Formats: sequence, structure tokens, C-alpha cells
Amino acid sequence: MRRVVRRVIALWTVAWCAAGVPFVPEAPAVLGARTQQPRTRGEEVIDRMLAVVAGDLIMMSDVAAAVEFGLVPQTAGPDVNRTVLSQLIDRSLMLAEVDRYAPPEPSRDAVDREFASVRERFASAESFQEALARYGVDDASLRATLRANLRLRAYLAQRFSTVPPLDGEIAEYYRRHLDRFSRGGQPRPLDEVRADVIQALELDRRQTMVDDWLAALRRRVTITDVYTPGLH
Amino acid sequence: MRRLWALAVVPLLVATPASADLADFLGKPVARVVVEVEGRPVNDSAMLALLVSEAGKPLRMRDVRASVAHLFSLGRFADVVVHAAVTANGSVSVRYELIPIHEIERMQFAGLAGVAGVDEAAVREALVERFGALPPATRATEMGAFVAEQLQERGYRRASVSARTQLEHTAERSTLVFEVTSGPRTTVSEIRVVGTGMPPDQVIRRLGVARGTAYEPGLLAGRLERIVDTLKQQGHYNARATVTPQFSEDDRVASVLVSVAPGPKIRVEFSGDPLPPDRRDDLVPVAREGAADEDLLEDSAQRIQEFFRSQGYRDATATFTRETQGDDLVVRFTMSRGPLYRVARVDIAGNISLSTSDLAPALRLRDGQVFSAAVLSAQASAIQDIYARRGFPAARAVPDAQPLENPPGPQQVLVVVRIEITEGVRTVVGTVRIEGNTSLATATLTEGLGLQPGEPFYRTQLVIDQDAIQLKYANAGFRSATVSSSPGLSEDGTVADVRFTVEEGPQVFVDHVLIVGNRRTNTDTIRRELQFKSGDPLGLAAIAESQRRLATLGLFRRTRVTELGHGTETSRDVLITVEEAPVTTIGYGGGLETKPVLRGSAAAGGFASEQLEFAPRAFFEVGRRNLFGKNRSVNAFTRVSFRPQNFGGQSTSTAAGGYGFSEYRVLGTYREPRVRNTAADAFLTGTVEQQRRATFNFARRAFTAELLRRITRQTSVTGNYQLQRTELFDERIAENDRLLVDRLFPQVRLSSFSLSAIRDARDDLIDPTSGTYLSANAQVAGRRIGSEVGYLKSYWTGQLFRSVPELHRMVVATSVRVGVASGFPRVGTIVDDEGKEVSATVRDLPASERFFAGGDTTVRGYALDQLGTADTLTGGFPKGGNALVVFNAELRLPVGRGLGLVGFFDTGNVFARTAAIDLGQLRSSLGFGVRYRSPVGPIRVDMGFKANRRPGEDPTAVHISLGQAF
Repeated sequence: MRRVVRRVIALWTVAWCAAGVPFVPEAPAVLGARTQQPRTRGEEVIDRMLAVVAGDLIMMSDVAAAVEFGLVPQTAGPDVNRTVLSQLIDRSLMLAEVDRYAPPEPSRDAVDREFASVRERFASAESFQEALARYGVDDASLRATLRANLRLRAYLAQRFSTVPPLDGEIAEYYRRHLDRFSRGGQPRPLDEVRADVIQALELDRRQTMVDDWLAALRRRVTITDVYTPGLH
Repeated sequence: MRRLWALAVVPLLVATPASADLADFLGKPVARVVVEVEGRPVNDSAMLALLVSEAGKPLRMRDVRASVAHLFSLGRFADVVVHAAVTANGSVSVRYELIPIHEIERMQFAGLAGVAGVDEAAVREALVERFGALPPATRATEMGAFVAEQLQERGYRRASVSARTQLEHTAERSTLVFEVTSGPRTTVSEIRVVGTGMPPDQVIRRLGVARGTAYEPGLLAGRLERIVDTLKQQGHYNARATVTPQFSEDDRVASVLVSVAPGPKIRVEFSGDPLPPDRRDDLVPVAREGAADEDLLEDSAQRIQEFFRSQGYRDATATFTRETQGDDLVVRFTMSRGPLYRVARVDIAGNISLSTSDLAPALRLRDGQVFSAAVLSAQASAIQDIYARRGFPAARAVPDAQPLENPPGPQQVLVVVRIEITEGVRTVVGTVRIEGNTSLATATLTEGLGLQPGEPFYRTQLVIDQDAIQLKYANAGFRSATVSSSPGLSEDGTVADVRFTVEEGPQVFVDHVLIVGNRRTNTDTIRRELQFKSGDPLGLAAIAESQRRLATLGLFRRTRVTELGHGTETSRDVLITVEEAPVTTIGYGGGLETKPVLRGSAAAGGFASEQLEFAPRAFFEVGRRNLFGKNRSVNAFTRVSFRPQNFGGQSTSTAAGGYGFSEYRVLGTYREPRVRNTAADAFLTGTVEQQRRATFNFARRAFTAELLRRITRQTSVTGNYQLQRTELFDERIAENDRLLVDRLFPQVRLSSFSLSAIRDARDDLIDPTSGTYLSANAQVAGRRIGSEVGYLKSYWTGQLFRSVPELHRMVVATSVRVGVASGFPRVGTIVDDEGKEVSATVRDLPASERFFAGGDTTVRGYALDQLGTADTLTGGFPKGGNALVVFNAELRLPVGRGLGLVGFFDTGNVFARTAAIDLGQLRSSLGFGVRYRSPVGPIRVDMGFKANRRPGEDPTAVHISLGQAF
């Protein structure tokens, strides 16, 4: 079950990275976490460790920030913290690899656009700054995170580019996934959805490659995941 | 009490969450910050220093995150939880709760005793091997599953194991209790063997199973593997064997089917032209690999073909066939060498800018040699590379080999090798530009680049320089910097305006430096070896150098430098994890030294002759390092030699006959590293020793204070002061023949300063194969500083070691040693032959400070100290001199299994005065030796032959000792 959840999350990650569109989540109260050992009346847990991946620490505030700033594509599920944390773990795994191969440096404009896109999620500059303070980040570190996402996106595009599918492959994919190309219970003609079919087919192929890659990374890299459902 | 703790933790794990808004806490002043480990407050100042949250400042999430990261990075905690609460006066109290990892220190097994066939000690050992000596309690479940697997391997298929940790909260350790329910053991109800490779009875006997015995899959698999190995050794290279069990519903019994398929017996035969027997196993590794599949056979045929072609059989072919003969499969390789090709001559054409001698390093095929197409191709590539390095990027060298029409015989062909060169234009670097660099100056980046204006353009160098620039950025903390390059060739290709384009990316800085694992070692001792500190750019070279320096401290078994990111991409904590080595070291050993010594006594009117002496020797050493956690150390070293007393007419002062402690050395050293926070190490040494030389014995007590400053990794300077008292005894030269200084000062106090510079670039201190060693030393002793005799003395050493890979990794070793000294004049009073006191001027050095030569480390054809000129010898006995010259040359050839052969030439002599040095009076010896590379260094046996033997001298000298001669 956990593997299926991971696969879904990874699929979203790639789709998100490939499209370059920030996912707008419904921000849950991730930091409304439980107290480990309450001592004082009104004492609350405000942060804690969740995972360590290739030397990168992931904290509860990272998970909350990822949700609020839209830094991960998937922010819904039976256990939001688990869902977001899994995506952050995968991100750290991939970034460790990206650092080894140094993909093209994103332009300053591209980082500015990403930053503006995050900024637009907030009603005012004040609320944006409050959110930054809430998670202990500043403009520079948010920019650095967005830059890392762009590098990751470029790396995935560069490493997992696929050849255009043949007509026969497109037809076969369409036939096998009719439900995904239907409207009102009726399959739409292939000619009408051809572009969508090609996009979905390429995405699937990339995802298979990324899955294999991530599986190899997980075997190679030490991951300490101390998250316990219901405890955090 | 410990159990109560375990119970207390349980309710915490199921506590219900309480929600709160972070805004309730952030920005409010922090009233107090506490750190607790399982309810106990932490007062460790080093740990508290890692907190960024501070009382009195507003609570900031950024500080909280940094504090969590630092505490977690210590590697001692499974979790770090931060609690906050608003106090009555509106401020915030912050509590960092640290949950220890609770390493498992003890393991207990319940229910394992009495389980047949399962050895608790073996299970324990397997657990340690798999999970380490101190696994974290978080791995308890995994360890329980592993124990269950161990039981299943021994036939308890339904075994279940639960693992429960009992936490100890004082030492933050835990005990892991395995509760084992083994269930019934599966027994073998029936065993059947199918297959033909081995009689069924024999298979069953070798498997060691019978009806009613336990079914142990692990054991069966191991034994089955050995059966397969046996079959393979018999030539059944495709042998396979499997065990298929069938279990009853309750798993109590298993019916076992063993299938042995030996496959045919495979024989490898060779026909056609002969293949050298000693190469067959390498070229056709069927027996070694235990396989004879198609790929392996094809590769073997290819290897045979290449082997013959490299021997000059250009048209050689090798094929193989498979043929079934009865139960055997015969694999036959058929070789046809064809004629032998030899090089008639080598023609180089088309080289205008470079002469044939310029290309000589690339020319490996020479007239008369066997011809190899592979070597010719490599030669053409090497020529192209020489051109490319000289700035001809488009140069091409096309090889060709044409047979001569009239071969010398039917089996020989002479070929004319021709290499046609097309040079193309020469490209010179015009300009070198760097773009995109804002953080590092262009001058910094271009310094040391191979491509410089006016130099030849070499495309490979462009890539090397590109990497060098990228490395400079990485060393400055720009981990994701990328550098691209463009040669910028002019239209006619003669000028390259080289351009490097840099994308710097963000610079990463060191946030905190965390040091863990040091219990005895002071943190400052570790910190001062680090090449970075908080706020510095996090550079690669700094990390590598820090790791090297920590390793060379000698205090740690292991050191690890880990970078830890925590949210921000531009700063990282650096975690230094050390594992301390034992502080006390003890060493001891013994051996036998064999060397020729001079016998007889000039004092008794005799003439020196040589005799082989055997001397057992032993040493004991004890050291204590890391004193007071500051890397200070003390060492005591004792060495004794049991030498024959009254050997060869020499009497010691004790008794005659037998062996005695005639030589000893006791040395105590105290080391103070980085004395007074300088880069110098200080050493205080006390020595008590007694030694025997060729013409005298001496006893010495000395105290030395030394400062050592390492300038670079290879270069160091030392300055020292020494105060010593030396007493001569058992002198074997008649008093009137002794030097005046020895007659005046049979006991002498010397006080001296000396200065040395050493450059040691050898790859190995004990057995070098490459590098150089240079040292220069100057010493001055004077009456003004408390010496009874004054002198100036200097000693120079130069050594060169080169490995010659083409000659079986032979090492060429050479050494030059020169010593010169001069005594300060001193007037003394002696009694002349008539019994009158007369004054005389002393100009010599005391015996213990004069130079001697001859023996196992200088000129090996001679006995210890035997060398000298007429001025420094009396009846063949050496008096020592004020000048020394020694040259050595050795060829060291490794022959395998740790053994090596050596051929050497030594020459040298000792002269009375510096002005008397005469190279024409050098005495030489040639010889050979054997080396054995033992764990404590090379064991050496050398036999030297005197080149210009004088009457009365033995022709040879044999030395057995430890370590190379130089």
C-alpha cells in the first residue's frame, strides 16, 4: 500500500515538475501537532525532526511550509504529513543526485517568476512575510529552494527525455486507457484527444523511468524516517 | 526502576494531539529555554551552546529550526521535539525534548534455551555481524525478524520472535529481549535423489540427512554447493543441483527431493599451433570460472587470437568446436598462427614541424621487432597526441604496414611500417577570457591554468582547465557552479581565443561545526585541525584537508565529516564524527641481527679482521597518547641487544665469555603538539644508552628539547638543544694512537644546538618506491653554552626513488650522504712519553660525534665502521674522521609473494679532515640481497663484495637486518 502511495506521489512530482505549474493546495493545519511530553499547561509542539535524507534534515516545519508555499504537488490524503513528507524525501533524494551532475543553472528571471508565483498565493505582502516567519525561512532561502526545484525539473527533463511515441503505440495506449479519455461516460475520439494521449503516454514512460531511478536511490542512500502516523 | 521507565513511555506514544496556532508563540519574548533528555535537564555547556533560541530574545522559528538541526545532528537522538508555552506574563518558555537513540547494549533470549540445534552464541554473533555491536533500539523489530529467520534456517519453520526493548535512562542504553517461540522442528520424512552425477547413497551421505533428521535448509544449501563444486572439479562445469522440499500441512515433516544434474564432463583440448601451457588457464579460463558457456568460449578464442597477434602472428586465427564423445563434451580450440611478421623498418613521413626525435617517445615498434597491429595503432594515436600537445589539433597519423616481397623464409614476413602524418595548422592560444564570474576574480581563476596566451592550444587541456576552474569554485563553496568552455578558433584555425563561461550558483557557507564522538579528546584539539569554521565558505578542499589532518592526529580509529542541510540551501552544518582509538599502546618484538664486525685489538698490537656476529635483540615500547585530551603523548622505548662478550678479542667491561646486555637504549619522549598555540610541536626526550662501536664502547645520557615546525605536508624544519654526557670505555686502540680529544676527554659533556630542514616526498617511509628525500643538518657545540668541547658539524642527505613500470615495477634507489665537521681549537694538558705534562691543542670531535662508515646502512662490503683512510685507521681499526662521503645505488626487483631481489653498488669513505676528502680514495662494494616484505617492514639479507680489497680483508660481508639500507 505504501509503495502504491509513493508511486502516486512520485507521478505527481514528475507531472508537476514537467508542467512547471505550482499546485495550489488546501493548506491543512500541519503544525497543529501533538505534544510528545507535555509539561506545562498550554505547552505545544512547535517543531520536531521527521526525516534525514542524504544529510538533509526534514522537519515538521518543512512539511508545513511545503504545503503553505505550494512546494510539493500533492497535499491531500488520509495522512497529509506522510504524503508531504514522502514527497520531500523523494525531492531530497533527487536533489542529492542533481548536485552530482550539475544541470544548467536556472536564470534569475525563472527564479523570480517562481518566487512571484508563490507570493501570489498570499493576499498581501504582510501575510506572505508572516508565513515566511512562521516557518523560519526568509526570501533568500525560499528563492534557493525554488531554484533547486527548477534545477531538479531541468535535470529530470534532461535525463528522462522520451522519444515521441509511434502511431501504433498512441492507439494502443488510448485503447487501454479509454476511461481516462472519456466525457460523460463516452470515450472521446482519438483524433480529438490525441495530444492528451501523447502527453499521458510520455508521462507514464517517464514515470516508469523515474520510479526505477528513485528505487535505486532509496537502496543506495541512507534514509532515516522517524515519522510515526498519529504521533506527529 | 528501568522497567517503570519503559511503561512510562507507552502512554506518551498514544497521547492525543492538542492544536495551537504558532502565532500564539512567535515574536513573544523567550522567558527561558530548557533542554531535557527523558525528563532530565541537560547542563552540558557544549550541547547548550548549540541552541540558537535564547532567553530574552523574541521567539523566532528560524532559531528553533536551527537549534533542532544542531541537536539532531549530534547523532545521539532519535528525535528532537520543541515545546512552547505562553507564561503568565505573556512571554514564552521553550523546551527542547531530546529522545535518545538508546543503543542496544545487551541482548537477552527468552525461550531459546533448550531449542535443539540452535546455539545462542551463534545467533548472537550473527546479530552483531548484521546489525553492529551497538544497534539503535529502533531496529528491534528488524532484529526480531532476523532471529526468526535464523530459527527457520535450522528447521523451525513456524518460529516466531518478538523483540522488546528495555530502556535504560541513565546511560541511554537499552536491553533487547527476544521472546522466542520456536514451534515444532521440521524433520525429513523421505529423501529421494534423482540424477546421474553421483551415486544417490553418496549424495545422501554428503548431505548428512536421513529420515528423521532435522530439515535445515541453510545447511542443505551449503552442502549441496560443495557437491556441485566437487562435480565441477571433476570437469562437470555445467553441474547443477537443487533441493525441493514438500511439507506436510502442519510443517512437521518434509519430503525432500534432491536433483543432481552433472551435465557432461567437459574437456578442453588444443590443436594446431602450440599455445604455451602456462598461458592456457588465463586465455581459456574454463576451469577457473567453472563454466563453459558460449560467451566464455567465444571470449577465449578471441583472447587466443589476440595473444598470437601480439606475438607478431598478424594472421593468427583461433576457433573452437564442441563435440560429444560418449558422456564427455570435448571443446577443442584450433589455432593457426600463420607466418611471423617482423618489422623491417619504420618510416615516418609528413612530419615537418616536429622532428622524428620529437616523436621518439611514441615510437614503440622498432626494426627487427615482432610486428603487432595493435601496437602500431597505439603508436599512431600517441603521435597524434604529441602533435595535439604541441598545438596541432587537426594532426592525423595514419598507420600502414606493407610486407616486403621476398620474405626471409616461408614462416616469416618482413613488413615496412609507415606512418603518414598530416600536420594541419598550428593553433596558438590568443587570449583566455572568463565570463560570468562575479565572486571570484579572473586573476584567481586563470592562475595555474595550462592554456596561456602564446602557448600551443591543446583541446584536452581546455577540458582540464575547465575542471580546474570548476574546482576552484567548489573550493570556495559554490557547489553547483558550472563552467563551460569554447576554444574560439579563428577562421584559419591558427589562433584560439579561449573563453570559459561560469554559472556560479549560490555559495554555501558553514553554519555550525558540530563535533561528536570525542570522549577523551578535547574539542579544541579537533577544532584546530579543521580548515573551516562557522561562517566560512564550505569548500571541498577544506573538508578533504580537515579529514586528512584529523586522521594524521593518530587519536582516532575513524573520522567522518558529514554535511547537514536543514532547510536553507545556502548554509550547512558540518558534523565531525570521531571514534577514538585506545590511548595506551604497547609494542614489543625481537629479532636476530647478523653483521660482520671487526675483531682483534689494536691496543694489543693486533690487526683488525672481520668476523660474523649474531646478536639477538628485543624491544619494548609503551605509549600513552591524548594526555589531558590535548593530543599530548608520552612514550617509553627500550631496546636491548645480547651481544657476545669478549667477542673476537674484544672484552666488555663486565665479564668475559657468553652473551650480555652489551647494548641497550632507553628513551622517554614527551610530545606537546602546537606548543603555545603555534604551528610547532615540541618534544622533550631523555636517553640512556650504551653502544658498541668497532674500536670503543660508549655510555651516554642525554636530554634533548626539540621544536618541529611542519612547513608543508612534505617539508619541515626542526631546531633542538641537546645536553649529553658520554663516557668511552673498552677502547681497542692503544692510548698513544688515540686522538688527543679521546685521551683528554674519555668522559665528555657536550652542549649543542642544531637546526635541520627536511623535505620528504617519498611515497612510503619504510619501503619507498618513488619520491625524494632531502635533509640538511647543522650543529654547533661550544664552551659558552656549557660544552667541554666545541665543534661545528653538518650532515647532508639526498635520496631518490623511481619505479620503472616497464621493468616489472623495479625500483631504482640512489642515495648521497655527505658529512663535514670541524672542532674549535682547545688547549689541554697531557702527559708525554717521558711522563712530562705538556699542553696540546685539540681540534677533533669527540669519538661519539665523529663520522664512521662501513656496515649494513653505508658501504655493505665492509664490516661496521671498517672504512677509513690511512689517517683514520690504526692497524685496520677505525678512529673516525671529520668528513664522510657515501654514495649508494640499488635496483629493487619484486618477484612476488612479498619477496624481492636487490642488486647494489655502494662507495664511500671517512676522511680525517674536510680538506682531505678525496673521491679517488672512496672504497666500493658490489652486492646482491633478498628482501621479504614482512608486516613490520622489509627483512633484509645483503651480501656485499669488496671491489678493491686490501690484504687481510675478507672478500665479502653478510648483513641480516630489518628495513631498507636507505
